Amino acid sequence: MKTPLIEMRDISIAFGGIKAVDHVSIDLHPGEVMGLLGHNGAGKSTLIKILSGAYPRDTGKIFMDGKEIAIHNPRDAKAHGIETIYQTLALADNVDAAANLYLGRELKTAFGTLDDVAMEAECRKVMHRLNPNFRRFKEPVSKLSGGQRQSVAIARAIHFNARVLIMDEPTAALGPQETAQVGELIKQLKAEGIGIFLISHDLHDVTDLADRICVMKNGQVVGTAKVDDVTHDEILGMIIAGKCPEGAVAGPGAI
Amino acid sequence: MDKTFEIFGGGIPASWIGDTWSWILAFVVCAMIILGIINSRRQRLRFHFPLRPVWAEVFLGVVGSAVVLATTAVMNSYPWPFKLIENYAIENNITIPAGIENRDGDAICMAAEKVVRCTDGFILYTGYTVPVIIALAVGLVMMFLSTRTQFGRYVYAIGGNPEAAELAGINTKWMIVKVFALMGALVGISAVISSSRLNAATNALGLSNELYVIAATVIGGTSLAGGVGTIYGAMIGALMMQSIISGMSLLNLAAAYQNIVVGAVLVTAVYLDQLYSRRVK
Repeated sequence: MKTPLIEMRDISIAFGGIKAVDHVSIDLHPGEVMGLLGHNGAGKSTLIKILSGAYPRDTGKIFMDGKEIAIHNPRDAKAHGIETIYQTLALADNVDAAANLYLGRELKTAFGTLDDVAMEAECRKVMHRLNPNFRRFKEPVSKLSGGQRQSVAIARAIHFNARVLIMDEPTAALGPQETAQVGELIKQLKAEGIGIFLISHDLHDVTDLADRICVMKNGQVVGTAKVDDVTHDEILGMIIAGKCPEGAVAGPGAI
Repeated sequence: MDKTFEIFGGGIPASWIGDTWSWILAFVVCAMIILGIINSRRQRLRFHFPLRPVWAEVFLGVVGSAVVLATTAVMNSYPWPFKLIENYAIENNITIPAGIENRDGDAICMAAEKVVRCTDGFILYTGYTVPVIIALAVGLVMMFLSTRTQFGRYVYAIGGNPEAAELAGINTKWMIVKVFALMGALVGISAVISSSRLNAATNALGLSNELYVIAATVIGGTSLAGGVGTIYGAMIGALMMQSIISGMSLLNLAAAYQNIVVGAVLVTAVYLDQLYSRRVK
């Protein structure tokens, strides 16, 4: 068996007395889309926020290519090529698209000042690929529509040679056409060998795009399965009742 | 206080750079404005971005230079007080007409049938003073810092959405420490100017100045919610606030009433800021 691109082993985090993520283990291979499913408050977002460095974990280890890596903050995660598109998008609302695209890794001129023109030029290229109708490069992103903001957030995640991409509800703010576009993008990135964690409430989205799914309930993994091995009803059973079907590998949360 | 230190205050002849140097400074600034416009145009040309029409660029350059030159002309029309000119003339062995003594014991001369001061043939202009130059230089440096450097970009990003800035990989805690350190340095500069202007200092120097500062920044378009504002806006706001305060002093308004007016301006500015940010959302 190949070494997974990312392996999270025995991850736990508690907020006060509540165990948001309870001894979860999950892995991801290159070029694979892993769908994370579960109720609101099942711990999906918390789990990926641990991977992206936003939350410090209480226990557990993270391995990349079989080697343990230390992730203490978002900078560490980015240094390892782990990029995230957050549910809230996490854009700096008062600066423009180019500034957001390069936030935290600005291009600089020979004098050490910001090279705004180069950043804008690069931003125009990237945005043209993602969203050809995008023209509002000079406006703060708070003035943009939901779909445009989303494409800025996606551009930021894929522009810097990510190896692992975490997408937390990437299509929540999008219409059907843009959702299809994101689907195309995911397939394209997958072909490039990037591993993707996809979190979505839309079961159809996940079953269409993901190779494997992992269902969480009350902070624990109910089960992991190849998408083709389980039916929609069985997945719903995992999400709602925590019942692990035969085609899936049962986790500690299964009954 | 030390004479050299007093140069920072602008109250003594040593801190006036005079009309010649003021003009030189003005022309240097004009050249910088024009070079800046040319440079930004060249940059945009390099990446094939849409350009402003040439007449607009020329217009911007002309207006910018005109403002600088006009300000300098105003600064250069303030002559030294005549007593200081007399002292200067004596120290530098410049002969001025002796004149005749009037009832107050001042020397007066006659010119074109009019009584004038004997030093009128020999005029020195104050030009820009050192504290003004310091203020402009600080403004320029801060403008550069806020718009052209990574530091400034992070400050705006953190002001707009601290959580997003942290998730984007900015060390927000360290940035906030740096912002406070910068603020301390700027307060230090203003304290130097303030104490040398007064030629005295107490440990309560600058007490309640924070009200003026907050009012000035808010008037200048800075949002109290964070992430929005400019340095030149704040400087214009400060100019306006100081104009109000100076005006009230000239009107001989009691200090208590002055404080009421400043408070009212502050409250109005904050109210308008809130109103505006609510409308934006």
